[in-house]
Amino acid sequence: MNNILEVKNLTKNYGKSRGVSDVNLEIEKGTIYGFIGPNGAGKSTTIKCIMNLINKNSGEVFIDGKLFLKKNNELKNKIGYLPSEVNLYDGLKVKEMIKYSESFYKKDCSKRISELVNKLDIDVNKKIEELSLGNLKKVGIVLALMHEPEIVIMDEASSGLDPLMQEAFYEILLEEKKKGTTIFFSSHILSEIKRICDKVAIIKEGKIINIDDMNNIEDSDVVRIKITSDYNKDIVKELKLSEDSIKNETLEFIYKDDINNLMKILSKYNIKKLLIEELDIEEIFIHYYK
Amino acid sequence: MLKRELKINLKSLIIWTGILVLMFALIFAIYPSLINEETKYMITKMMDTMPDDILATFNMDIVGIETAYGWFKTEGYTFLTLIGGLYAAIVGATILVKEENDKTIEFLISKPISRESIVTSKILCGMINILILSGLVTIVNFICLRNIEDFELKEFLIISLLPMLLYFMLFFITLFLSTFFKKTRSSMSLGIAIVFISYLMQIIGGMGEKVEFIKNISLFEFVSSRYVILNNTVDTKYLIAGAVIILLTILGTYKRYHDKEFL
Repeated sequence: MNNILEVKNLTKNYGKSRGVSDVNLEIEKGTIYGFIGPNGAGKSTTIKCIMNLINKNSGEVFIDGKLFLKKNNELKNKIGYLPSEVNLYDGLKVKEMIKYSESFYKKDCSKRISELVNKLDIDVNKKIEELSLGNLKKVGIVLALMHEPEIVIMDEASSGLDPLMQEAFYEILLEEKKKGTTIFFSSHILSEIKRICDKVAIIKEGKIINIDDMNNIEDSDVVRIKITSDYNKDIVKELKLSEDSIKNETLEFIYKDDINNLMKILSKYNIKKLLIEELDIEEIFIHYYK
Repeated sequence: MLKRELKINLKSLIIWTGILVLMFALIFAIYPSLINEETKYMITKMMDTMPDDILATFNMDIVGIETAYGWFKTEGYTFLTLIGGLYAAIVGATILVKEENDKTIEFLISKPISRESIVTSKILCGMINILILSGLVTIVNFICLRNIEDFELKEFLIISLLPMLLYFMLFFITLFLSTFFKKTRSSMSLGIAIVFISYLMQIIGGMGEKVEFIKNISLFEFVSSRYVILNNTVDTKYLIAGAVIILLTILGTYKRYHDKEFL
């Protein structure tokens, strides 16, 4: 059994609004598995079903080969969870919060706690209600990792962290991976998924539409090109683009093929300005996965 | 978890116990100086003008309030049940749903603790707090009253401790009802409403035979001190009915909480 987490035929309906349907995931031990999709696609619903926060309409979740039910505390020991919004107990100091969390595990976590606190630069004497969103997230990361879980499940993990802290966070995740920890994390930011994930599942409108190795996704890069040139019309003709691509003297289009081919074509013209941008995830869904 | 629960609920326990203890201590301290021949005459005269039903509601037809202990069995008992009942209802209505209200439930559920254990910790915490409140109020009242006059110990103890049945009923009913809510504000409003409506039902139900049925379903009637004063024992039929209500609401709470969704 090489899968630490398996989701089988998971379906969840919320009355009128969309949930998820027939989600299947197999997460191998020791990988960083990205779960990506636009807002409202069903990432949080899937994760909340996995964590038994909400009830499934059908389907099963297995942790380390064993059916994961609400009562299963043994399996919960193996899981670290970071919700998208970290909410902790007002009135407690950070160190008291960490201690309270530690009290649920029958082991001494102090060494790992101090490592994480140092790495994330957390002031443990602050009160929970004094923390900014980013700092709250950092405490959440400590709470998710302190007991050295076998699998860490994170919902929108890096949101709220400043760029420097994001770096520290990615570093921690890669270190965890080296130790053999599996990480399953959802995001709507493609670049962070690209950076650290081995495998990625893409969810759209409640359905998994693609599961792939990160390498394959990276190979099929899609970019947005913006060109300002007096020869916009000729370029449109040569690239067989629609006339609508020209807006206010700027030619703008999504490009999926080999970028070198494009460069060869463009080199023939006098270009005033050229911008090549990464698409955000929403656009990728519209242009690439439709 | 229980340790932490007791800690965070300590403040409100101190406040509510403080209110009751101070109120009783203060009244018992000044009561003897208020009562003399003149005021006794005035009280008797005033009571003569009151309808019998009203007097019966406060047990003033069977107990005189010219002694501090007499006051405790009549008006004092109303304060004891009403204020203590409010405390129990508020604790029950908020202790469990607070985790969802503050969204800390996501943290709690991810820890190796079952939903049942969460409920158990909350129930134990609520029960311990109610026992402490009742216990402290009883001890303080005993000390105060003993310094003033003689009274019958058995009756005093029954009257002091019987309200715990009401407290536990209110605690478990509001705890169960709170499983239908996600916000403490709504569940707390309902809890407080139950206390006052139930109290009013007992008062209105005492106004005449036609409306007596209203009284019989009031939670306050379960712990009516009238029966104790007349019979020097508790009414077992209400004791059993109360226990059944408590048991059913406990089972209901566990069931509802097990199935509840934390969105």
